[in-house]
Amino acid sequence: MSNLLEIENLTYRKNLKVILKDINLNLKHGKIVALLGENGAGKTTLMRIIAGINKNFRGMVAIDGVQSVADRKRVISFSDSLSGFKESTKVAKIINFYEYLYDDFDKNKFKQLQKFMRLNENLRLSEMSKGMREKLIIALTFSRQAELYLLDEPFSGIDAMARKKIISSIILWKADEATILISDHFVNEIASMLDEVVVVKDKTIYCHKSTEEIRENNQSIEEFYENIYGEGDE
Amino acid sequence: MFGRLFATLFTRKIKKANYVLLVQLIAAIAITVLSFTTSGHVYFGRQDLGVFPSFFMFVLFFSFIAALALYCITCNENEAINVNQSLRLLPISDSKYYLDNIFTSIATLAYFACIEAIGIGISFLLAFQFDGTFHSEVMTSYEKSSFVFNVEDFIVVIQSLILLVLFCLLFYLMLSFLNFSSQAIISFLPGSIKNKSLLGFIRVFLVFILIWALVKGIQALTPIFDAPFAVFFQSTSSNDLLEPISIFICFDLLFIAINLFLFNQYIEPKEKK
Amino acid sequence: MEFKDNIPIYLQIKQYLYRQIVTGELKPGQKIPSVRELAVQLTVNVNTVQRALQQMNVEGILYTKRGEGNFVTEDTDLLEKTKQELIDDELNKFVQSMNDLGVSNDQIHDILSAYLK
Repeated sequence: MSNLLEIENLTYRKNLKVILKDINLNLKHGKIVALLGENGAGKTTLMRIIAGINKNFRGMVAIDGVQSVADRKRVISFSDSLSGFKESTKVAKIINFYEYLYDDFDKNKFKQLQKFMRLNENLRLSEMSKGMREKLIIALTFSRQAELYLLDEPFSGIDAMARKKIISSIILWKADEATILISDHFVNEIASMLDEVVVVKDKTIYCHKSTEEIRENNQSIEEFYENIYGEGDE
Repeated sequence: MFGRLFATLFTRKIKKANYVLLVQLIAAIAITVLSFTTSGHVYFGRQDLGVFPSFFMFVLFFSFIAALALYCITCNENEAINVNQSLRLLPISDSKYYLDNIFTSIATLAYFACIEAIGIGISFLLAFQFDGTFHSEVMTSYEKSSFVFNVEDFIVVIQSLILLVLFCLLFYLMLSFLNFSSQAIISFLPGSIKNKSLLGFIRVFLVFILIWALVKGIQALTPIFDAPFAVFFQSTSSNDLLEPISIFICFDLLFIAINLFLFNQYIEPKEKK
Repeated sequence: MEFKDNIPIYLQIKQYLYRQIVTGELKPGQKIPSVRELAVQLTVNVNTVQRALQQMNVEGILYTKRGEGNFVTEDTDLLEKTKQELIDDELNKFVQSMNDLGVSNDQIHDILSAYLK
């Protein structure tokens, strides 16, 4: 099977500082992959580059072999923090925005997700808790029939119940061919559903491994991840 | 996609235009009512005006302020939309996105001008219909002016309108240019500068340098522009607005090209969690 | 269901299903839950469940009816063999940990009889 996402020799600098260096990454169709790394390791930057909104990088980023920003955005569903909307915006309005502007937005799928997450569309953004907002973001992100879903820290600062809901919805609603990249700085909560892990360390991809392979070596994913970051401290 | 984004941005900006119109209307009504309840009449020049004519004057007066206010608001909107992550994620190329953004602002100004014209027309008609002095005053000055409609005047009016649109466009583009280029330069400065006010100062400083460079550049360019066009305009010397129009078109196109390059290459949406 | 983190999950899913079959929670000839249902129930990846079910199909403990899903085998010999394997597994583990505690194989016999009385 050909690669869904290909990144070659990607380097990104900002303010004279190297943020990402010599990134090479290939992801196949139909996988759930974690993007792990400390806070500030460059996970969000990498996702934003893939999604086509971070500029001025060197190297190649392609989805299904296509590099153009507009074409990439068409098949990528990025978990937008909804920062572009005013806090007084009603959820129903954001749904309309998605429905009108994304061709692949599936209203029925959203209705199902909305029911599953118990989202009230009459609420305003400012009236939502962190967990509820994150659920809304996930529901919107998944309602697009994309090929690659980029979930940027969907579990940060939310309670266990919301987390469970989000994890179940990922498993339930992921299309077979679609690939999901989830960034997080903890892994044990999501380890059981992962196909692969990608660890960002020292501004580059430190390793990219299949989770079952790690377990075959009698290591838990968490141990594996902690060992990588432990090395530097010694 | 271009059309749908256009519609989305247009509705968003029209909302602001409607706010401005509403405020203008309320202000005109309020100040008319206020001046009649406190002093009983309004002086304009040496003339004592009735209720409707003074309302008309205020509408006319506020329309300039409102236009200026709306222009500032749309300038701000343009730059805010350029770095709006929720919108930038939409499946459209950066170039089309930027053009959509700028042209919706022009469309919003056109919409505003239409409503403004209708409003001024209505308030004029009200005064004309219900105020005898105003009515006769208008009639006499109309007769005195011996107004005749001719095509040449009409063409000049159209040309001035085009010039106005081109000027508004150029100003939007210049603002984006200053914003983009200073942003791009700042992204190459050391990241150790965390102080917000220092960054702001650097930015203002950069903007001044850029303006200076722009002025120098335009000064250098004008003789080049003048020479070929002068020959071209000699034949149609009656329409002397054509020359500024073509110069404005050239500058508009130039800045569109520069801005598109900068926008594609450097301008990232804001990151907020 | 909680998984051990350092053992491949597809193996643990197999163990889980073997146990359900042997204890009779899934009866011979009965349809097992769909891949996605199992995935959600166990909060694992669909690919992982598929891998486990594929292997069980090869082993013969499950069989696939086209378009209907996976069913538990009605082959009683095979079921008996699976049960025996589970028992052996558990015994192995038990003996191993007894040995680790310093109990010799001879002593295990006595301790166990005493315990069961």
